[in-house]
Amino acid sequence: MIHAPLPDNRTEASSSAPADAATGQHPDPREEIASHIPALRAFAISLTRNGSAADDLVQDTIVKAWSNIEKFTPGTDLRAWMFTILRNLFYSARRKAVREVADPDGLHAASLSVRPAHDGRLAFADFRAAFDQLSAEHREVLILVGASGYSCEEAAEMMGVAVGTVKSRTNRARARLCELMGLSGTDDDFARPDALSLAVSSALRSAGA
Amino acid sequence: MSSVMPSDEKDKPDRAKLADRSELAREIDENLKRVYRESLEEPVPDRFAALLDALKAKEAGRKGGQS
Repeated sequence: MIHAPLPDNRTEASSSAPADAATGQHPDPREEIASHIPALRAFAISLTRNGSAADDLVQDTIVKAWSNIEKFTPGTDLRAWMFTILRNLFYSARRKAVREVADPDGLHAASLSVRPAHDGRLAFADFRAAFDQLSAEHREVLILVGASGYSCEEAAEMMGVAVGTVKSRTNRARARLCELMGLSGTDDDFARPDALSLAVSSALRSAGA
Repeated sequence: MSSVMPSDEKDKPDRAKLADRSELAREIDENLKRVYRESLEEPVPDRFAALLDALKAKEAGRKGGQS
């Protein structure tokens, strides 16, 4: 279970990690930040599709997390908390910019001309190209739920939406991916709990989620 | 408004179709993990170590000033 950043009534006097009654003193969670940077970058890249924009986003996230660490609940998932900060920064910057930043590094945006033969394997280059054409919202939900192994409930908390929204958005994103790859796939196909969720959840479990 | 959706009649899922879907889902998942993993495995630029050092130094300075 993760906890979204909450307004905290603690006075700002104690910026170091408070003691936990049950387990004693928590170390300063900020010591942990460095270990989450690769994951933050991977998430940022999936949102921005641009290396330098992703690194700027990660930098802003670290600064914000560092200076608001008293709002973090010790003992909960710091990475999820920072993912929440990162995606909120991303979407608020995007709202300010009005239009989504185009793809200055030219990451694959146009390489979908080859129609993959569905011979049982999705060609990774085609997959990548299709993934990059998804909306940021679709990339986000697929990375959170499909790739980084968060549950729909955890993703819902990070995204600030209902669990049902996460599920339906995931289904739509998968269907859109298939469409972009020239494979059939309606979101109905991906809403069948019998076939899909089982496969997905077992894949997540085996990934150590 | 009351358009008939013949989904159940028309594409009633048979076993082969379901197997196909779950196979496709599995492949999508594998590819998603690979997309994520490739970014995850990129070396972290030095600027982040420098950033954390700067934040720590700033904090140490502030604490020193306060107490």
